[in-house]
Amino acid sequence: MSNMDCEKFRQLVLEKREGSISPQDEKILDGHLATCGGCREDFELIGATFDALRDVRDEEVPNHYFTNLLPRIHRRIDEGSRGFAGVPLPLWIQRLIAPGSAAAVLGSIVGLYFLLAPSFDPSTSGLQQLVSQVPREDLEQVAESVSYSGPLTRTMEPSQRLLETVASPASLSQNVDRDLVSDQLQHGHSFTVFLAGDSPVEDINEEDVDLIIKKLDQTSL
Amino acid sequence: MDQRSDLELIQEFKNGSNNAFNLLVLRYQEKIYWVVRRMLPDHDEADDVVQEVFVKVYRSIGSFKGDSSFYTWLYRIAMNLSLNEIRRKKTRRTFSLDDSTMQHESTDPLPVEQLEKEEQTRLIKAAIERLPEKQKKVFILRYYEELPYEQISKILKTSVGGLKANYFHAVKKIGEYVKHGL
Repeated sequence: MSNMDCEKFRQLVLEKREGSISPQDEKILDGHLATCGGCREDFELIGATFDALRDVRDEEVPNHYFTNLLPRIHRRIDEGSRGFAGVPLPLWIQRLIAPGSAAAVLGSIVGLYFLLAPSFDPSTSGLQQLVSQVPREDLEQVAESVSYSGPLTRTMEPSQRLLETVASPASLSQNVDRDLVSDQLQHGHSFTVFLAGDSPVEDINEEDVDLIIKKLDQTSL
Repeated sequence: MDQRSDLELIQEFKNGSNNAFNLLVLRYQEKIYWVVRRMLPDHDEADDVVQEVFVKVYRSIGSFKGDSSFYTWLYRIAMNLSLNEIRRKKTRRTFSLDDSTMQHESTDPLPVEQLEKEEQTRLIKAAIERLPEKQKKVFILRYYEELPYEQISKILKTSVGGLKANYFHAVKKIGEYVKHGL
């Protein structure tokens, strides 16, 4: 039996279990199962798994959990947005603060990088050294804030990668993709590109840096 | 039940209506809770992430352009925050028999059949928890949320073919865990 048949089988077995398989495909699947012992085993295992899954009951949720959730969300929003004398800030200010603070923190990181750059050991990545000198909380704050700063589809992934970076500085990406830099700059996402990409960070020239800092300044409050 | 669409509510929220935000929370809180809860089996951890999901929506709604549907966006936030939580706390917990959900209020012995069922449930939950991240996300969105592959593809930014392969492997792995024990 060819591997291609077995590959196709995976899709068909799921379709059969979900009741969406066509009569022709079902015939093909049955024919394959009659001759392929490995796939027959898989088919039985998957059927038994779906049967077992049906018996699993959901966990219990504490009484009134959903009735109390909304006020608790608002409390958390208010806690994160207290202005002077504990008065909550208006919504539009709250929305500006998140990207603003992300930009400010990362702006500081960028500044620190260029201040300290001459003393860096050339044997390791500049960015790696930079991150090693920035307090973990600051990086986490950036990671938390980055996703507020632009269209989510574009910012969540770098944010995700940043979190991974924070969790494991040794595996820090040493690279920045220059196309991504200019693309991100045009869309106002400059502060995410330092931490994700594919070409060496050393490839960024002064012009790029100026552009990034300029963009950061524009984004800061 | 409010008849306004998500997009209408989002527009009102963007214009400053907190009530529109409240309606969106009420509309999706249960769905989001269960997605997160299946990623993070502990209720308190799930609760924390669910709140964070909606706080994030509150603060970043301005960045929602409507390129995808609101619930695709919401699911993506929920999945990402859940994964962050898993990574942050490095929760590689297994369900144990003293898990509160497994405790019996009655002191009477349980029938053998029921004990076997409970053991199987415990194994399945542990197996789901141990799935690789990608397979776990696909499994939860497909099996529990019953989302079409096309929708999952938008949420996870993965091809439909890849998702089907992930789902197949996830179900098979769960079956193998249960069959052979953990």
